[in-house]
Amino acid sequence: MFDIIFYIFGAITLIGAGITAFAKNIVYAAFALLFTFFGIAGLYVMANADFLAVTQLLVYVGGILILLIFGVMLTSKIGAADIRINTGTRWVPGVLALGMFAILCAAFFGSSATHIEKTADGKSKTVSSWASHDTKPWSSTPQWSKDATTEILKKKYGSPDEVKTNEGSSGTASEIGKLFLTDFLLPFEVISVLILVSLLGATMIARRDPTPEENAIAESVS
Amino acid sequence: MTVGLNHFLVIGAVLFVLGIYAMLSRRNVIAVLMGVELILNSANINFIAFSRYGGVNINGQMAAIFVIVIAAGEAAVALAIVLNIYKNFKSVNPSEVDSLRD
Amino acid sequence: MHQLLSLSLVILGLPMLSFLIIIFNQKRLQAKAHLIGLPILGTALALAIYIAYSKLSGIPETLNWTTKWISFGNVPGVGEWNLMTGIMIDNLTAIMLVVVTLISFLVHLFSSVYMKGDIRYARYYAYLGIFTFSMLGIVIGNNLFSLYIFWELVGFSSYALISHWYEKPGPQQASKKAFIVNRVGDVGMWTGLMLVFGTFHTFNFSDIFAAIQHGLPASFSLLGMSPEATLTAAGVLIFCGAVGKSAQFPLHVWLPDAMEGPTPVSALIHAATMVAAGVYLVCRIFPMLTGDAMLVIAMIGGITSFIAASTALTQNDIKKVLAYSTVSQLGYMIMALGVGAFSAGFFHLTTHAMFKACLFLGSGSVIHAMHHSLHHLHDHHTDPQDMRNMGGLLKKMPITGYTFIIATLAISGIPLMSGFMSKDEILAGTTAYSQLQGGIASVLPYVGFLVAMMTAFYMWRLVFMTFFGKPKNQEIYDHIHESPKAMVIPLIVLAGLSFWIWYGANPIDPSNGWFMKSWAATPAQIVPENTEAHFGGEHKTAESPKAEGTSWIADAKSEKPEMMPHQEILEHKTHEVAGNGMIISIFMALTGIALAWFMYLKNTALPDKIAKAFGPLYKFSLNKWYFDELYEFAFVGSFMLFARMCSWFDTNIVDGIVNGVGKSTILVSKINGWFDKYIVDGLVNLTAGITQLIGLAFRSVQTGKIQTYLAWTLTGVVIVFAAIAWKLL
Repeated sequence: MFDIIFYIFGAITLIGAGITAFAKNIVYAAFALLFTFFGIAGLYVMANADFLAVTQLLVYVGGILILLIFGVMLTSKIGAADIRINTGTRWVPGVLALGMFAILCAAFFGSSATHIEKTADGKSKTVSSWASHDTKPWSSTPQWSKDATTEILKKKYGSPDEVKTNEGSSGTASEIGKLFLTDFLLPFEVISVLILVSLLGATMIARRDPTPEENAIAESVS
Repeated sequence: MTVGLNHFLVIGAVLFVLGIYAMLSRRNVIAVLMGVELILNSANINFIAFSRYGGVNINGQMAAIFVIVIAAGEAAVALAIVLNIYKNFKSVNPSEVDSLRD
Repeated sequence: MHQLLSLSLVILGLPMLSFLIIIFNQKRLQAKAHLIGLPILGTALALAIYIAYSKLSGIPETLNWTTKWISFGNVPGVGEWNLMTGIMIDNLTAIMLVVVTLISFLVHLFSSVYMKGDIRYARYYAYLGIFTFSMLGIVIGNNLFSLYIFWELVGFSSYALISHWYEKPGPQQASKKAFIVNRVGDVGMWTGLMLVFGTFHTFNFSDIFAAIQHGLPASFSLLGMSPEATLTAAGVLIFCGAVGKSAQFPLHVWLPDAMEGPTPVSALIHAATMVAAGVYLVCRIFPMLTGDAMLVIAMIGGITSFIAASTALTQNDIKKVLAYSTVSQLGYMIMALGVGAFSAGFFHLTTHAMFKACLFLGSGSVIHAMHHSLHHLHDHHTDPQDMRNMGGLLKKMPITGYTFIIATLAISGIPLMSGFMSKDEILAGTTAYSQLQGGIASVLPYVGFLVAMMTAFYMWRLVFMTFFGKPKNQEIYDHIHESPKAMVIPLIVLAGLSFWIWYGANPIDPSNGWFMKSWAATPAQIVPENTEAHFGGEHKTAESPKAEGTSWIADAKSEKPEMMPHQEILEHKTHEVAGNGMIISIFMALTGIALAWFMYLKNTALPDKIAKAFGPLYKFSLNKWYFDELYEFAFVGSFMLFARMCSWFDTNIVDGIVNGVGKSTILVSKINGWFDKYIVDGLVNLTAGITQLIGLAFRSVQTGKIQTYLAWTLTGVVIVFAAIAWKLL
């Protein structure tokens, strides 16, 4: 069941990405991108990253994609043939992309593609990356949420009694929330400032130069 | 074959490659930006995969969140730039925007 | 800290406050600056009177407050070494506080009319404030160092006030002259200070005196002199400062020129306070003066008083006469201190401050009236200060005239006036000293009496030429008016203070009056016995009262402080000769007045005849003994000669070397230039050519298209990763 769902989402993602990369009409490309993002969100759920999946849907599907479509509409002369993408020479990008893919595959399929997993009894062992030995892939409390993170939090912030673990709760939102306000506080603040600055910057850059009439109005008001 | 780490990584790799292809070949700046988004997402998939299987725990998800946030900011700024380019060059074809040469 | 000490600090701060307020609000205040200065100085005056009253009536001991200022740490060979500063109030300080604040207040009041409409009215008041501040600083300091600091500040403010009208060349030159001449004296003073400080490691008066009394160390030596001689040298060197500031021979030349400043400034600075600072300094160091140093001081004072008086005889500028009169009277004070008549000298300082300020302000009033009259007539050529243009002004300006006459009576030494009392004591002290000392000091009393007569003569000459007789110019005379209230009130106050009653009950016996008897009693001189003045064979040996606790600062015990034997001898002798001296003094004064009356009212043709008959002498006096010319020749001239020598050396030797260096440089440059042109430039051009070639090759890569750049980048990435993967596999 898990595998089937994984392959379905994987297929949605890849097909969408393919259309995005190859479609001649940019509007098609945008809609294909929507499906890609949706598929990726599904993959996140498969990997126990529920909070991220929701974020992905909200930010990408709800925000960035809309922004891109607005961009398309603002820059294209609708109705004209220009809306189709004039694809230039394809072989240079193709060769480069394939080369990149080859290198990545070489890394995956190399001799020692293994990773470390923890077994149910808490011991670490090395397994092949092509197969998961985790018997409960849908487990609502991922192994790390029970041990590793909680241990770190306990060590840092007090005795076990005082630290409320998320035992039994589903999802990673509370973990992420705690980390944002503890270990990742500085990056969190920095990223807030960054987002604010980028918003202001975007506004400044995209601002239309005021027309002479508007200038006159502004002056008369002030 | 049960799904494991490499399945995620391969999806990420394909997305990355498609993103690169889109960035290099498209003749519309917006489509180039879509390629950039694809690349960012492929990176995110890798983060999540390593978070689930690779022993980096929840820190991988944190990194992914930061990537999403930065992607949002990048999209806003990039689109603003695109609008300006369109205003100045009356075109969104990156090949025609070559004043960097001078 | 005693309450009076705190109050004296407040007094010190008030003029500074006035200065700060006015100087930072010059534009805003403009013609209203006196509204700031007057109330502040009034407050200071009230406080000063309170302090003087409390001190003189109820507190016999000296109030002293010392604080650590700079710590030198542990100095090798000396030990812990700190620079202390502080303030003290003894009778001298208390009286000086009143004198300074009173005159400053009256001058503030007087100036509000006299300076009305001046372009730098506010600045003028600001500088009056800082001058008063500096003068008070001199007065209340208890150590030589703070005194020196304020001493220089006074010099600066005097400079600033003399050059008040700095657009004119006269005030410019005069201010520079005053400043430079004062510095000459200050060099000596500073040397003396260092001499004392280097040995005793303190600037504090009482500490220095205590150390000297304790015995001079052998290390106290200047240029290999014995400690006793060095003490004399130190006294004379410090006295140099007084020579500069109090305009004593040979540095007296600046004071008459300083009359270029506004007249109220002349009254404040160059008659009553600043020039008195020198006398005050000598009063302060009086206990440490040796007999030899005293003789030097007395002689300088005598010479100064004679030179100045003889110059004043022939001057025609009303302010110049007063200026020379001031120099002469300062010489009197210095002479008094030199002969050991401490009380008399300080007494004369106080009385002179009052009547001379009155005279100067009176002359200011006259000049003001003359100026307005000339202005009314559109006459810009006649000098408003020249007495030859005046005459008969008494009827037009009665208040100015009568106060002026009162002050003139005082300076001439007529009984019932303050000047009579102080001058008489000086003459008595001088006579006693010369009889005891003998030798060259014998001329001093003759000089003193002669100067007394000359003073009476030239002062009455001034009065007769200005206020009596027929007007020289009817037109000017018709437009003369009495000055406004703000100008005559200070005159009335100062004339009132010229009467005897403020200084002692009995007008003909000042030595038993309260001023001399208890307020300004002579302090003990604590110099080693063998350096004391030797008064013939009468010097008593041993049994000296140099016990611990001797009061060496003049101070009011209800009885007189302990004095050294030689001082007692002098005092005794002074009483002996006082009666005769008084008679001679009155006779001299009356002679002088009579001569003036005869020459300038009765027989007005006589002065010209005399001038013709004694042509060279007259010219000598009129040209101020040719001091300016002498200094011009001796100092300025020799300096110019030296400068010309330097100039010659510069043009012929230094320039020759420089030119030679220049020529050889040109030669080297030419060689360099050739090398540069063919070798260095060739290499540079070669490099540039190669770069250009490479640039051409790479130019085709730079398409300006983002995607091309990106493709290149990715190509690089693929190659690098491929290489790594190859290695790994």
